[in-house]
This record gives sequence, C-alpha cells and structure tokens, in this order.
Amino acid sequence: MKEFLRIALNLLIISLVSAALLGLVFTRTENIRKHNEQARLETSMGRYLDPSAGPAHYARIHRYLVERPGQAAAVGYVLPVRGGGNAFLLLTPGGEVLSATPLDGPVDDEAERDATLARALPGAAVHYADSYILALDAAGHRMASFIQGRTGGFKTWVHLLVALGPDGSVKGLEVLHHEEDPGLGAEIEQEYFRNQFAGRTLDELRKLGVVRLPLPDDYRRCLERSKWAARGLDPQREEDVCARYGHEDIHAITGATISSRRVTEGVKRLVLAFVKRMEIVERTARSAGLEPAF
Amino acid sequence: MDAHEHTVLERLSNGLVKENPIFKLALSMCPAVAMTNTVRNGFLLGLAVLFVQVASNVTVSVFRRFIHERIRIPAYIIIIATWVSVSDMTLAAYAPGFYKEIALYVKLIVVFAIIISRLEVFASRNTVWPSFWDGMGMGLGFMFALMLVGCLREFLGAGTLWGVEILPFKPFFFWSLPPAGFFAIGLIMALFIWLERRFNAWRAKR
Repeated sequence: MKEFLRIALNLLIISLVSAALLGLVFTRTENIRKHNEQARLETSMGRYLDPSAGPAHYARIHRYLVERPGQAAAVGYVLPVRGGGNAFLLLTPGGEVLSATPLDGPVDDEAERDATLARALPGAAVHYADSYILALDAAGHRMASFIQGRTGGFKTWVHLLVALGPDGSVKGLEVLHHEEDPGLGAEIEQEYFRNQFAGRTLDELRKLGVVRLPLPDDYRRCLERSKWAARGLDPQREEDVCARYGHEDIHAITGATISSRRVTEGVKRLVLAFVKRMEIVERTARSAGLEPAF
Repeated sequence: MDAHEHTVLERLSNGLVKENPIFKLALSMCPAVAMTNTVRNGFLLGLAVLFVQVASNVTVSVFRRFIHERIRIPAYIIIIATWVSVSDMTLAAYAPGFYKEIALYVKLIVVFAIIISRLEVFASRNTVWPSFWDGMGMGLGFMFALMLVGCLREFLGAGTLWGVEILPFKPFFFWSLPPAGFFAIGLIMALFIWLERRFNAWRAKR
C-alpha cells in the first residue's frame, strides 16, 4: 500500500510540475504567436496592394452556418457597416433575407465573436465557416479581396490565401500552412507554382485544369519573379513570355500531381464561391436595410 | 559509473562517432529517412532534437533519485513531452520563420527512440554535468548524421546544397523520394563504419 501511494504521488508530482511549466510557457507565448500570425497575414496581403494608392484598411467578413431549433439551416455573415460597428446578416441557403441584426460587441477575435453572436442569436448554434477580407482605400473603394480558405492536400489541409483584384481576377496565391512532403508536394510554396495563378480571370478560372507537362524553361524564369534581378533578364521580354503561357492550364509539380491538382481545385472553388457569395451579400444587405462598409 | 570517468571531449566524441545515433546505434531512423532530403531540413530537425535531448537528460539526471524505478518510463515520457511542447510553443512565438519549416516534425520528437534511450542508459545513472555533455554529444551526432545524409540526397536529388543551386538540373529525382533515405543512410553508414575501422586499425598500429 505504501509503495502504491509512493508511485502515485511520484507520478502526480511530475505531472503537476510539467503542467505548471506548460501552462506558464503557453500564457507567455500564445499572444505573441497570434500576433505573429496576424502580422504574417497582413504582410502577405500587403504584397498585393498598390502602395501608391495610400494605406489600406481592411473590412473583414466572416461566414457562419447557423442552426436554429425547429427551423431550416441558414447562412450568416458578420459584416462591418458604414459608420462603425458590425451587423449579422442571416440568409437562407438560397439567398433570401431572414434577418439583419446589429451586433453590440467586439468581433475581432474568434472567441469574442462567438460570445457576441451567442448574445445576438439566443438559442441558435453557429459554426464558423470562413473569412473574407476586403482591402479598401481611404474613399472606401475596393482595392483587393482576400480569401482565406483551405483545401485537402496530399496529406492534410493546405491553407491558402487567394488575392483577387477589384475585377475579380486572381492577383496571387499564398500558401499559409501545409504539411505536404518536403521536396515534392511542398513545392506548392514555390513561386514557379504559385505565380502560375496570377492574372487568371474568372472565366479562365472556371475552365482551368492541370497538365502533367514539364514547365518550359522561359516560363519558369518569368514565374520566378524574385530571381529576375539576380539573373539579369529583361523584364519586358519576361512579361511577354508570361502573357503567352499565362492562359494555359497549370503545370503540375514534378512528382506531386495530386498536390498540384488539389491546390488548383481549391483555388477555383474558393474564388468562385467567394464571387457568388459576395454578390448575394451585397444584394441582400441593402434590401435588409444595412449599409455595408465596403 | 562515476562522473570522473566522463570528460567533456569523451562524451562529445562518443555521441558524434563511437555511438553515433544513426550510423552506429541505428535509432530514430524514421525521421532520419523522412526528413533528410535537404541539408537544411536535417540541420533544423537536428537542432530541435539537440535541445530536447539536452534538456531531458539534465532534468532526468537532476531528479533521478526522486523518480521511482517502477514508473521511470512514463516519467521520462512526460519529461520529454514537456520539453518538446515547450520548444514547440517557444519556437512558434519567437522564431515563426524557423518554426514554419519544422513545425511538422517538432511534435514528433516525443517518440524519437534516441532520446528516451539516452535517458534510460545514461542520464538516469549519472550526475548533471556528464548528462548535459552526453545530450550535447548525442544531439550533435544526430544533427551531423542528418546533415550528411541530407547533403548526399539534396545534391543528387535536387542539384542544390542548402537551397543554393549547384547544378542547373535535377540529376536523380529518386534521391528526393522517401525510399531513397534508406539507401542513402545504408551507404553512408557503411562508409562511416569502414572509415572508423580503418582509423582504429591505424591507431592500433602506431
């Protein structure tokens, strides 16, 4: 019995000390980690904004799936309204307005948002789906839209950030997080793959496929933009090459056709869904008496 | 064993050569196979392992009299997991660029055989200072082996070294694939042991 107590106590103390240490490190690092992530996201977004247009401010739209007891499922959008503050727009999956309620609490953090939504929609269950970020200039014109979403990779989720121009064409693709194989699927991070998406219009995107052909050498050189200066190539000529190949299908990464295909499908799905949803939101928000801030 | 038997140099050379984790003990082969298609990957994983090995070695040697013989394995696992989580959270906060590259593997260090085997074999029977240097030796030996395998595979597979382009083409794509890790480790292991034997024979003759 004494042995039993000694062993149990021994393990308990080790676990307690370990838990205390982990708790301490977590509280010290968690906010910094979140801050880093936010900073990284903003740097990534800043790359697609024209610095001459002045500083951008960001309008964030969060999409939720809403379940209310005894009623059909609905889609909800948290969106900023003109003059400050946020509102919650509740729609049927078909795009009919159910309700529009002003939100009376902070919505920046995911936990804050959940609390605010719980107060605005008592009894309903809300499930976070995804977020859209619109970059606006001082006059409130849209400079770019950013879609944060994920797509199934070869192994687990690949988290993407797609930048769209005001006309809906793709400005760029960033891979925020992935767990693909180093040297193979991980190449989706490389410029020569990501930059193949830049400049695609919505119509091109709908038909976009993936081909298993080696990347032509001159196209690769124009895709690897950060190496231009170092290689001493004429930017104008490279621009022409890019324009020539830029309307063909995506060239898959050698040995990673699945990753290439999934990312391409993901970009298509995210962009097309975004365009459709934004159209519905803009149309319905005004009819529901809301003045969105974008 | 007594602390006086272990000089710093002896501990370091033990980990690097005599009992090199990969080439001599053949422990933690999975990460060594999976992670070594570039030199940089090998270095980064080696660095993380070095930290966890040293921290766990020191912790276990400090508390070795307190930890009950019967529950030493769960106790070691808790200690290793704690240090792995500490390094995981610290890296995510203070070195996000670095963390982004090795996030996949850091959490897996908990189950690396090399770490728990050093706790069992060495740190649980020795004082703090030799245990510290044993951890350093083992960690550096692991890092050295990973980087060597990474060198071979990155050069042959991608034509680059540390991401710097050496050849303008990819000579043998096979070397970038996971199965090639086994071949690379096998080949270098054979060479390593052959060189060590030659060296010992040469020293014996002198």
